Amino acid sequence: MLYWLTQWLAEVDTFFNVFGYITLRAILGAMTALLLSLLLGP
Amino acid sequence: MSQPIRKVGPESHFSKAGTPTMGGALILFSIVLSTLLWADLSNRYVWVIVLVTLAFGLIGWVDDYRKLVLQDSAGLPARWKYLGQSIAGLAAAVFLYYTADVPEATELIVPFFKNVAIPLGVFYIATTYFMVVGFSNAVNLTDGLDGLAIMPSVFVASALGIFAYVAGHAVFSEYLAMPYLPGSGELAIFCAALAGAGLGFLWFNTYPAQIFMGDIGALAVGAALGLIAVVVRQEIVFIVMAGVFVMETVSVILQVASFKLTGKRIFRMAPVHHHFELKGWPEPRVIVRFWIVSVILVLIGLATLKIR
Repeated sequence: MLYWLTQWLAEVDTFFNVFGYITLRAILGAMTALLLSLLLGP
Repeated sequence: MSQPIRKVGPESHFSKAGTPTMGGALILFSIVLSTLLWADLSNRYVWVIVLVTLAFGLIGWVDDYRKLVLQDSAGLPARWKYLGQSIAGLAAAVFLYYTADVPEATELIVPFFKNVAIPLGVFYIATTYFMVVGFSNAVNLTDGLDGLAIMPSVFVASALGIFAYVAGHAVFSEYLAMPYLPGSGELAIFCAALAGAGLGFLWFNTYPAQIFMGDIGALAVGAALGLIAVVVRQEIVFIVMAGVFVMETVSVILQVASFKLTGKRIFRMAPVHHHFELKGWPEPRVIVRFWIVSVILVLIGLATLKIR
């Protein structure tokens, strides 16, 4: 969902094109999942 | 929601009674939300892997729920568990087979050989079924010591993420003589999310565990790994990289076969991690040594990227 949002924002500012790269989104995905599991853990 | 401990397991495990379980729900929530946030949701592979993960998680949840409510470690009857796994596994296999857009998507890639690819035809469905259901149960069997299943899962998911990225990249796949599978690169995001969620879970699951994964996590993670291996056409390499899960499963098969045929046991107890425990290895030693074996196997798998 954030990917679609960034693709839409890229039409306004080309900076958001960086989120088109799978490598960056994979890193962000790993960090998001890590943070979620640490925050929601017992 | 505490885990009932198997009465036939090692005595050292009786002290684990009362440890909360179903921590796999934490893993699944983190993976799915992270994937939905960062992956391209118009990609069919993303939806297949998310739905299969959730389906196996649901089967595991039913199993865990029955164990917790009935306080019996038997859980969901095996025939119902296999039926649910088979339906989910076959559905994914049939969908992937009929939506394959390039011939390479249904060929068996042989590691170390540049030009060896065996067209599987309808056997693709059987292969996919075996990989998904087999590894779902293999991870479940491995999940017997604190952190034993999740860390190899993190290693293997990270490696599969690299394979997915390369397979989905026209230039890199050509350079490394791998099949180019358009769209498969998005699975790198799922793999990364699995690795991240796994590490977060390990924070609490490391010895002595504050929480167990339960079947909800083990079945789902195993099925997800098996399916990713199928999509990126690396089944053989995956069997090597996931060698710890294979070893645990084979130990159970050999133990049962040996006992039924000869009346004698090969291992002191199966799965094989219990064998080492009963030999006197402390639990953390078994866990970390299995992790080391897993790292070595994953590195061998990654070497096939270039050595072919």
